Amino acid sequence: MKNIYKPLKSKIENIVHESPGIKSFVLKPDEEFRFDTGQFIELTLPGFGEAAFTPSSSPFEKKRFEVTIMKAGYVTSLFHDIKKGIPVGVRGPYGAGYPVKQFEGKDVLILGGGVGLAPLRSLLLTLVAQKQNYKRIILCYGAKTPSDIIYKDQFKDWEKKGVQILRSVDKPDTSWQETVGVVTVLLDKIKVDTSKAVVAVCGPPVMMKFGTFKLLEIGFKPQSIYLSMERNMSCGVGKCGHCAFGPYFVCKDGPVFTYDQIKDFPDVWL
Amino acid sequence: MFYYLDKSEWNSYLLSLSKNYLIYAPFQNNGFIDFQLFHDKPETIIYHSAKTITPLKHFLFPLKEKVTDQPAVQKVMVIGAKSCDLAALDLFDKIFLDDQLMDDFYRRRRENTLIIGTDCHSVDKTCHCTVYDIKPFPEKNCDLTLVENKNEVILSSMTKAGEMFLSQISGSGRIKKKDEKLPDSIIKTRKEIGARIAKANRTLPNSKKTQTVIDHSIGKKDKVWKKYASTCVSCGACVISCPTCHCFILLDTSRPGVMEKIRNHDACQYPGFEKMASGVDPLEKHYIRFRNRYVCKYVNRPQKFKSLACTGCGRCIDTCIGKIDKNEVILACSR
Ligand SMILES: Cc1cc2nc3c(=O)[nH]c(=O)nc-3n(C[C@H](O)[C@H](O)[C@H](O)COP(=O)(O)OP(=O)(O)OC[C@H]3O[C@@H](n4cnc5c(N)ncnc54)[C@H](O)[C@@H]3O)c2cc1C
Ligand code: SF4
Ligand code: SF4
Ligand code: SF4
Ligand code: FES
Repeated sequence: MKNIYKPLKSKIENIVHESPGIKSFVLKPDEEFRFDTGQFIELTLPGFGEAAFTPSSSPFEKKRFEVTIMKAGYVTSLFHDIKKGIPVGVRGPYGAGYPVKQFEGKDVLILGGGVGLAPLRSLLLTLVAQKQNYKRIILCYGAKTPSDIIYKDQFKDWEKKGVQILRSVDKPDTSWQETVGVVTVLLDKIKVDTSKAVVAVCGPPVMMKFGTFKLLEIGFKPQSIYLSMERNMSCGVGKCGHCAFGPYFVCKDGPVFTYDQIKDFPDVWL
Repeated sequence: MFYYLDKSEWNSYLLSLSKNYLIYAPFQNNGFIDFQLFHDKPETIIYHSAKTITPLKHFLFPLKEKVTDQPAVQKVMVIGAKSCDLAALDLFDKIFLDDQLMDDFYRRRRENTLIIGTDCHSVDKTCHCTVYDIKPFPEKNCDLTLVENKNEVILSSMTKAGEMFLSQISGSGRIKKKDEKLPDSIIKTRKEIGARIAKANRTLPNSKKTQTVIDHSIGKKDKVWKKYASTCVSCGACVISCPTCHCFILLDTSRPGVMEKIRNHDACQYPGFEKMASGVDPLEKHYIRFRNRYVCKYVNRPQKFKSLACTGCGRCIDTCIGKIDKNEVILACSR
């Protein structure tokens, strides 16, 4: 029987510097590793601890996958200090991913802020690989400054593959020619038939909150808004209680919830 | 079927079993009745007290366990499990024996622990199992039941493992008689004890009503929550002593490069339990953290797992350093 607490040995094959404070890690597990887009893993730095991350790469790649990590505290800082080649541990994949089947035939809007683009990139790559199944794919992405934008060199390629891209920064530099402002302002610039569209949202807590309000305002139905909820996590397997969110365990019943599922909980927005 | 044997036969059988099992049973110790490892003096086992200090869960879910090695398989026998502790295993089994994400460490302990449930023939001040429809004698989640009756011991099996155990005793020729029923005196005691607990707790709402009371208190009874939280020191004793609290933290052993993990009990009453890396903590306010235990027990866990998450053992009341009576809090919220 599989031991749910035992990490699968994996190697860090490459480290990509994305922005100040954010790095991507290419991981090669000792065994084949499959995940659905939106599922997450627990990544262990042996002897130090582990933290939850959502693979940011395409689930169609079976040999290796990527996680994008923002330096946020103890374990994430240690990951930022390590060099490639060192062994790490992977548990998972856990949770339910994005129900991409239900997105078919619709406009898919992707709304991301900061490192929140990590899980959304995996979703984007999944959608792009079977583009004929969706009406349009639109990405709205916001970062603090142009240098905080992650995956900088990849937007061109996605655009070529038919993704409509809108970006904003809070504080522009002299060369910035796109939108200035919080990411929600981008929502005023797009035209979608909200009755035939879904939206996936991931980003910092404030952005999730005001993003959701704005989406409701422009007509999205609560059941069409897919939110990646952040909670403290330990086990990842629905047992330790750390990720409790109303009656749900985010690790098992989420991490993606529709706004409809959670809108009545007292602690949706913190 | 009930198997009757003389107490002396049972005692000598127990002594012979301690070679094959680690046997734990309730003994008197410094004024408390708690599980202890059994070596000798079987006549001093206290079968029919109310709940032990330590909840049964600690045999299946130890305070600290390394969960990256193969679990050691040690045959354990726990004698004297009480109904409130047994009822709590419904929730534990749902959480830890989940088909897709099975906790193999819990499973192995569960499979290798023979549990013998016993009636409560005395009642503690804080016992209130009957409020939640639990009877003060074992009805489920144990392998065998045992009742002491004067110079006899009466055993009955509830599982396959229990049956095997009984057939082994039968094989050793110690069984005096078999009967379809328990003695009338035992049935009478069961009724009396149940009635006593019910009477002592007649003002308490049942689990369904408590769920409504607690649910409706959120945002509306902050005064009550703040008042009772004011003597809570966040020690977590209420959680560690609770038969249904299942929370833990998975920790790496501090050996750089070694992939070892420890599953260590944790408690939502400890500050930072739900704190996120962003610094946001849903339970940051003390009264909300204090309230969380009640919301968990009467609203969230029952809703998610369709089973009780408070079995009315009363340990959290006995153990609270802040002298907080959980039931008083519930009543205050219901007013
Ligand atoms: C489903 C999910 C997906 C995520 N995906 C991503 C992603 O793709 N990229 C990304 O950058 N971030 C992601 N995050 C956030 C990421 O998991 C956190 O930033 C990370 O856990 C921070 O860990 P830390 O140790 O650096 O931070 P800390 O602030 O040091 O720790 C975070 C929390 O973990 C607990 N903790 C940590 N170590 C210990 C310890 N030794 N003892 C006790 N408690 C401890 C503490 O309770 C603390 O509140 C995701 C989170 C979730 C829940
Ligand atoms: S909440 Fe208190 S009374 Fe209820 S099961 Fe837990 S310790 Fe016992
Ligand atoms: S959340 Fe708190 S009350 Fe609920 S099981 Fe965990 S420790 Fe117990
Ligand atoms: S036992 Fe009492 S003081 Fe300790 S955490 Fe529980 S309620 Fe607070
Ligand atoms: S992280 Fe342990 S229950 Fe969700």
